[in-house]
Amino acid sequence: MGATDVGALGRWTAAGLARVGRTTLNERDLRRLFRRHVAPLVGPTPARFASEAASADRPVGDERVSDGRGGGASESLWRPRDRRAMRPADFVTLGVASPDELADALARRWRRPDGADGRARTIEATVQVATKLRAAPAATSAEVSATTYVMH
Amino acid sequence: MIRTLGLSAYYHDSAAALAGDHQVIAAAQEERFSRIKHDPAFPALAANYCLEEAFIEVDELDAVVYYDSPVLTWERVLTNAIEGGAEDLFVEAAGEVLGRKLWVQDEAVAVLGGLGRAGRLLYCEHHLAHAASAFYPSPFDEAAIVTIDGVGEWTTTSIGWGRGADIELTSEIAYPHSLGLLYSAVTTFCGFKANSGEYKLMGLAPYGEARYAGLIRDHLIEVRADGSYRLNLEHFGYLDGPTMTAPSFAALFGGPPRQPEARITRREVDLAASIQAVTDDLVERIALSARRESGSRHLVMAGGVALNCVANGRLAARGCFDGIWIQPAAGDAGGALGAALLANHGYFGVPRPSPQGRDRQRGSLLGPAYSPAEVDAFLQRNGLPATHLADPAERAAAVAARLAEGAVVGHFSGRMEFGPRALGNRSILADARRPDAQRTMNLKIKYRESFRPFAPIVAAEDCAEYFDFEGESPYMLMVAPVRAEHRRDGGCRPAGEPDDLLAIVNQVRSDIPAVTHVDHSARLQTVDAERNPELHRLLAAFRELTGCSVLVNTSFNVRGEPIVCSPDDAYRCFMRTEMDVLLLGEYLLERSNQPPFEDDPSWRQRYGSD
Repeated sequence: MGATDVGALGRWTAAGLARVGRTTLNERDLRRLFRRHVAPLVGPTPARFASEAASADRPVGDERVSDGRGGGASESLWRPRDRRAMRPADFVTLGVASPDELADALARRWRRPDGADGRARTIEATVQVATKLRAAPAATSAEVSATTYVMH
Repeated sequence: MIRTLGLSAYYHDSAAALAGDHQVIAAAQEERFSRIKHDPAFPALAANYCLEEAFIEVDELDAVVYYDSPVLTWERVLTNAIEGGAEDLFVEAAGEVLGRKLWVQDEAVAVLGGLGRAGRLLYCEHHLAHAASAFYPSPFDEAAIVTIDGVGEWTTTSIGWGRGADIELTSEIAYPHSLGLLYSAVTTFCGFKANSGEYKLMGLAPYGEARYAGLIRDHLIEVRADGSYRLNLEHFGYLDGPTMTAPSFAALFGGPPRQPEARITRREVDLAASIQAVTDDLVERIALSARRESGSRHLVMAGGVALNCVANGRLAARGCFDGIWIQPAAGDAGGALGAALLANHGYFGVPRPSPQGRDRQRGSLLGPAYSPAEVDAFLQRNGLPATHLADPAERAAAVAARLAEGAVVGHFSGRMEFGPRALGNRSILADARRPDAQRTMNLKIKYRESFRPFAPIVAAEDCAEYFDFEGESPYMLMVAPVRAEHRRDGGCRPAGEPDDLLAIVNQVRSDIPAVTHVDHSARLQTVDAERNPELHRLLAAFRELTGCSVLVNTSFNVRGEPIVCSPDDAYRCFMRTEMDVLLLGEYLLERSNQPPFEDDPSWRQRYGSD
């Protein structure tokens, strides 16, 4: 199965679930699916979690230089904000009024450095679920679950 | 005039606020109208009130603005699911964001009937709304800005600056690292509710010793010298499950979480003291970073953590800033107010005149008022006997006299407060000097036992006589110690197992025991004649009678009920409890004169635990 073959990914997942006698994905499945099949589509792990992953094996506080109150390590954990101030255009683009706008907003947000949509399939699935729920807010969790299954 | 309606909704404490140019015209939480505590619903009733207050229709608005970006929130929910797992949690969150929050414009159009001249809903970032709520109404031309809450979109903590009409947030800590969520995690571990029990945890802290502070710093949160931080996520459950803490959290603190309503043990009081100590330290570091980044010696704060008046009081006492101003509705409700002002300044380009050292929060009295004619109609309609006291001085004297006699008074006056605290207009008042006031008010009015003392109100000009505090605290957002000459004990903290916190809190520790905590601290509210002349007159009249201008102030409600809004709410609460007197605007009602009150006996079940 190629890394970009989303249809095959779905078939592989469904077959795998059938093999173990389950119909829904569990947490471990999701992690495995993401790391093996989705991560290559969207590029590197977001920095927020990459830093966490890098530090996962290091006890919290082990690089601390004590100042008597528990602080003191030199490296700052503050990060610059993506949006320092609100520009007039932001007041419009931070929300959406239609499924098309949702697709555009997510595509802008997740555009890769080379200009390609980083998560085309995820955007498609998001819009699909959101459109369904917009029309029927009382949709059952099973419907949402089914579509989010596709999303993964 | 540019008029913008700000909305916060779908999380907790939904609210609406109406800004006219740089001023706030009206603001209110939805819970006050719907009578559902912390109501997260679209704020239809609050928005309607705001339009009524300005006497305008929705098509006369320039814009409606929502305080959050559902697109960014969706990104966080999705990333969290991919990284953290927990399909059930994800499906629920996905349904909420994709089915509801994304389409807030649809609901706004359906409920309001339009979106003003802008023609479409505007949005702003959550922490920029908090920042705007803190800076724009503040008394400062320029200030450092700190926002700290659980999470808004990706951000949990941010620092920046405000100058004139410009606001920039320059640095942030992002989810899942969150001081607000850490505090909430300890809150739930100690058996209190997240998003409302944090105040209880703060009130519990003075009983304890901070013996877990080192453990918290070693295992839960890594704090850098500049106030940046990260959590050790292995001990938290909120990333991939429905609980705030992971099983390993319990292992760290020697056993399972306390069950709600179970006996409070030494562990919980020491945990409360410990997380408070860590919070005090971290808030100070964050504030100092904001000072360095902005170059300003003024500080403004918002976000739920900014309601921690112990941390605020300690920061003020350190003298690191020339002035500190905190948005009274610092939680999500205040986001509506911030969003409205942010749109006026940032979208419509409205200039911000110099505040010249005076805040524009109007005492946070931004909710509905009821005219004497409306109150009179209510009394007539229900056949309720009352004394009309149209003269303000006569009214103050009459209420003061009853307070001095030991009466507990429901004080319903003027515009309702915006924010979680009752600041005198929807308050229950009593004589702070009476040793039995604490117990009486808890048992006969609030129908609860509480280890937290009540808060004092004091005439601003008399504050220094009773409290070690300089400046003003008009919004009950600072804790300050009772002055040594008013204390009556040796200042010893309770030792050993806190078997009976109630016995401890009911001990007389000062000349104003009903408002003095075990460490002699008090959640202070100063009252001045400019912001609240009616309440200030009452304090002056009470002082004239008794020589003391401190009163007990607690919110006008019973446990689990939103603070009263209307005369009807107030009268119902008055009759359901054992208050002696009710002041309804210009009308004084004595309990002993009231006709029998027929009530639904199940009303106590309607309000859950708080």
